[in-house]
Amino acid sequence: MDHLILEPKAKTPLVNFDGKTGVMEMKGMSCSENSLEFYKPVLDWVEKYGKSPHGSTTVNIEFKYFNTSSAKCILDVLEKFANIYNMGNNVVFNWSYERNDEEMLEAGENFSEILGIPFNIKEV
Amino acid sequence: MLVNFMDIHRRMQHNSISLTFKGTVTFELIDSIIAIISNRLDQIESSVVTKKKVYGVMLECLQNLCFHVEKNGLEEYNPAYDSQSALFMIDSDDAGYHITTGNFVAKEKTENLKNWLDEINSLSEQEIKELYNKILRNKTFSEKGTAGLGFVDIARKVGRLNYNFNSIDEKYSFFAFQLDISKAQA
Repeated sequence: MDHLILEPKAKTPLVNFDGKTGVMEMKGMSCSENSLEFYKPVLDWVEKYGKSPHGSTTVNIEFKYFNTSSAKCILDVLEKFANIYNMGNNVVFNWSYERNDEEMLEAGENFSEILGIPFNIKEV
Repeated sequence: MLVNFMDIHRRMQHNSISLTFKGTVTFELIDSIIAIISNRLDQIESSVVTKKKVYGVMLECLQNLCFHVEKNGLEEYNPAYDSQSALFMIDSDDAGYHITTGNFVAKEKTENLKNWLDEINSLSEQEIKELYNKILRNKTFSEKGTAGLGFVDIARKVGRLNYNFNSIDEKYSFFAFQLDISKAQA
């Protein structure tokens, strides 16, 4: 499985999904007015990865901020990893948030609750 | 008339933010406004929570203006209004930050908009969270690529959504939307 790297920009996050190691990272800002366009290739990549995932997958998420249209897209990405987990694969979700950022803490708890999958949530 | 610019300058420097824009809101313009206000917030606001609230509310409001402003102003220009033109204001005082937007809304849409805002305003904090999750789970996007979460997300951050509609003519109303982010909320 190949490697998906999207460099971080002012309104879009770093996406570094490594199919060889199973380590997936999404980090930074996500507030583009066109989130659907940004997340489309990300979703496609995870869909493909799910067909033959690595023995263990680690999903590391650390957002500074995301807007409402990104929220749905981020949930979609997490859901694709959740599907891999629900098929009996080893997937660990790590959700980090900036110190004192209650909103991002709550967002992590929220996504975990919606997906019904435990997240390791930690302040950084 | 000679204005005391030094006085204005001094007042504007004192721990505050003040920016008003009237005109066509484009995504490029939003980037500039966000950059200016973010830099200013970094200088004057120490609470991460308040800073992110202001940032988030401002961004959702501006993106709303860009997505939802009426596009049919040019072919039927009326000096009483310029329907593509919107208003965005942010200022601050000791109590907190105040964000106001204004734009023209076609009359046939005002009822739905009003009902939606009233519904959100009638909910408790917990109910707003539940509504947010409900819309989040519902995977549909509008034709414009918007999630339908904007006002709910703003209400999550600030509480009450203040608004009013002023009738302009038989086709348009002016929609004024006003939000307060108190410093004490941090």
